[in-house]
Amino acid sequence: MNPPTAIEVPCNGPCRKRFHPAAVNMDQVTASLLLTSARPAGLLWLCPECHQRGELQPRSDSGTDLPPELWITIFRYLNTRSMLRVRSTCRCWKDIVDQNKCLRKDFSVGFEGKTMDEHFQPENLLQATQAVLFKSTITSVNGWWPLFGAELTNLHLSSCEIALPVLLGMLRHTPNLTSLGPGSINYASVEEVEIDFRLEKLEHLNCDEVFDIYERIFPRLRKLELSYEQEDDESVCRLLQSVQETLKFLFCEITPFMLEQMALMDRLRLTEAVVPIADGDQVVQLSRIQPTIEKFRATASNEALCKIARNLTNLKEISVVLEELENLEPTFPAEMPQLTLLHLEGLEEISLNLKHFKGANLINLKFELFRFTKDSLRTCLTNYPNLLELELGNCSLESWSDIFEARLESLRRLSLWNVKVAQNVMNVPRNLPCLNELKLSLCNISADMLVELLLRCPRLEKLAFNVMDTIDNEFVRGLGRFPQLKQLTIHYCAITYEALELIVENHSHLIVDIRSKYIPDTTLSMLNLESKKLLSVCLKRLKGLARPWTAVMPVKVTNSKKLISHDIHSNSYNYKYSYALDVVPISKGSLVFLGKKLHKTLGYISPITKEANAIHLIDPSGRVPSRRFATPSKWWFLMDVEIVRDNVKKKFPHAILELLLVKKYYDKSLRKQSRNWNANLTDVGALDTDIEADYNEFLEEDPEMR
Amino acid sequence: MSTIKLETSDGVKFTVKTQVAKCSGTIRTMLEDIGINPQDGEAIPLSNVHSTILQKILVWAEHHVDDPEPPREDADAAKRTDDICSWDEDFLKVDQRTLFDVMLAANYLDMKQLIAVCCKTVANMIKGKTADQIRRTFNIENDFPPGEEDKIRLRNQFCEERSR
Repeated sequence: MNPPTAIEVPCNGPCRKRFHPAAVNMDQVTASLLLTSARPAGLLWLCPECHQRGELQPRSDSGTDLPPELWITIFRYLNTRSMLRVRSTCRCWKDIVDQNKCLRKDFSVGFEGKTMDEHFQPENLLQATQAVLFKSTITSVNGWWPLFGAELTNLHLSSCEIALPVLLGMLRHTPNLTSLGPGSINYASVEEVEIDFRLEKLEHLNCDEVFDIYERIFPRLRKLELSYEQEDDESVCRLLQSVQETLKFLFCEITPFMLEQMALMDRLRLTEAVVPIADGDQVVQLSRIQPTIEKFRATASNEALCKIARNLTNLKEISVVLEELENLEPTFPAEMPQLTLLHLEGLEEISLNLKHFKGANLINLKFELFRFTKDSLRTCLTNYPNLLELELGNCSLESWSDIFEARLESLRRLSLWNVKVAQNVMNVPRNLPCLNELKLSLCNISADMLVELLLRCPRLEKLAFNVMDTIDNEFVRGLGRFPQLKQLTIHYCAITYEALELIVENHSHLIVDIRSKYIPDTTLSMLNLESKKLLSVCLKRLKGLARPWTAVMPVKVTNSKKLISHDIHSNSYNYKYSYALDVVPISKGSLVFLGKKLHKTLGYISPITKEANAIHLIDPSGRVPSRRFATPSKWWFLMDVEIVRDNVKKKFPHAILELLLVKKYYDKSLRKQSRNWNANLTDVGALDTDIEADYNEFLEEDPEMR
Repeated sequence: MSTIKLETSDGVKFTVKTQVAKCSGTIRTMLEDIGINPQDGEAIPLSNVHSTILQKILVWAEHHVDDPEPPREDADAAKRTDDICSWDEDFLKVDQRTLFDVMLAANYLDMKQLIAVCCKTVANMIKGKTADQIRRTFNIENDFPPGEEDKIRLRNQFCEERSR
């Protein structure tokens, strides 16, 4: 058991010293009691140092009084962003973050367009574990690199100019490196120098050019990616030879010479291979000499794949581009019953018969660029009873029933993009009991069919549409029928501002992401959003919002948020957001931007006009504007013009698109001060009281001026 | 069911079911390894824990006494903070001082589950806040010399953009 920690009494005076209780005439028990309990203190004492009379304060609620190990545990739950904020909070926390590697493991530092010579000295360098050097010229890094490099685990150089000896000099100081990517480097010199170090921890190397020296520096590579066609396959083979015991992943083009050499490497046991372009025979040969491969990506013919299937008995995942261009009936899947992932791609849209596709293990299936003969897809899907993920891209089907009438009992994710059908019909689909995520892009499914389908997905949580003509306001209105949804993404569909408003009102539990060309920037103005989830949508728009206006008049965009509630424990804030556009009142002769409709009703006068007097606006309802200045979706727009009613110099509002125009005119030259324009957030509920006075006040804050 | 006695720093004695008390790694070690015999009627002194806090912790332990052992966490796995169960959430709706005291006591008593829940709660209080807001939340003094904070922030900004 730990002895009780020594209690010290802090002085609140200028000396800030801490004393043993005995030093200030206090016994330990009293001090500990007063310091630990939350009771208000009442004991007075005199500080022997600064002679300040002290009152014993109960322990202050300072956040730093937890022991560092607890803070480390807490900080581990933070993402990089919050961690950086924590780091700039106070010295104590900065030290905690800086001194713990596990907290800094995601910090990344980038250098772009720097010239690093012997005079280069980065200021305030954050001790990161990842570094990216981009478009830089590196001639010397002697000064700062050794300290910085010592902690690095990932180093990537891209489009840099560096001499090989300098690169090696940098690597000498990075003993903890696990991933290195020298990509598209312009080597100022490739002179190989004597080296006296090895990077034992380096597992992943991704490079364009292989130097002989690599085999001595990187003895324990697991993953090797060679981006471009290797001119020098001998040095690649030498590298392979030296790391054959640890290498598991190879991304590389295969030449006959390499195959010959690899056949001799008896300790090489690859589990994953990606061969971007290769002769069919070479792929088969690779599978013969490396039978341990479990994941394979290549271009091959059906015949070659059948041979591969016989060679690779452990194959779990395969992604293939099929070479054939004729009508095709692939037989290889029948020989790979243990597959869990199958991605198949055609070179052009070829007809595919899926008779031989079956297997109880398959969970992930993807087809790209194929035409399916009648019923074949349905049969195929029935043969894969445990499928979790299905994706079809650029494919042609007979009708939607081909997919949705199949028995997809376990399917979790379905993604269809640019899938064309000969007959746009769907019989009543089967239930999709487990479907969690549905993504439809560029598919011509009618809204009725879609509703029919969604009603049969009881567990659907994430729904995404991308460029779907059938998703419109009507569909959004019907969203209430799918209470299971949690996340909705609609990109570039025919939905308008009304739909957005509708969602804000009725579906605030949804996480919504909407992009649409039909929601012009100008309409997303004063949205009162209770849901912070929609904030990102609006903030993205806010920049665009001011654009058309700033071009023609002085304008200020304001957004304000009002805290409705805050839960300190889950740190969730509930804000009410308001956006407003301040428009300076327009005087005679100002430029006026007219809405499309108004511009049309006015007989096509120029939409941007200086002749403000030419516009006479009559309010169709005859009401004066109420306090509803900040109601959603309306902008009030002040224009000058003429006297209509005795002392109230204003004319009537008129709705133009989402705008309301109010004509009014005050002589600005009489004003002493410029007006302070504010976004006016008013309570929509309390309307009727003294509208006239309020309105006048809104028009002109100075009563003398009215 | 056997019980043991615990004595807090302010001299209050608690009689607790042994099973509940064993939620604490410290007490478990004392009972099992050191061989303190609870039948003696001797109270185990917990000199770092105040009675109000121990009471709160015992409520938690009582509720979680039958929880299964959590799976060993992978140090590299992305840690979630949104998986606090609603009972714990309500339990930790206390002022910051109490929350910290509970954490300190849980740390002293070696109750991993309780520490994790508390840490998640505090992490949630940090998330999404600016440095200034964090300072206000935890009543921290900005002890950087003027200018240095800007420098740190400048470097941070760059890093934040990269990590996005």
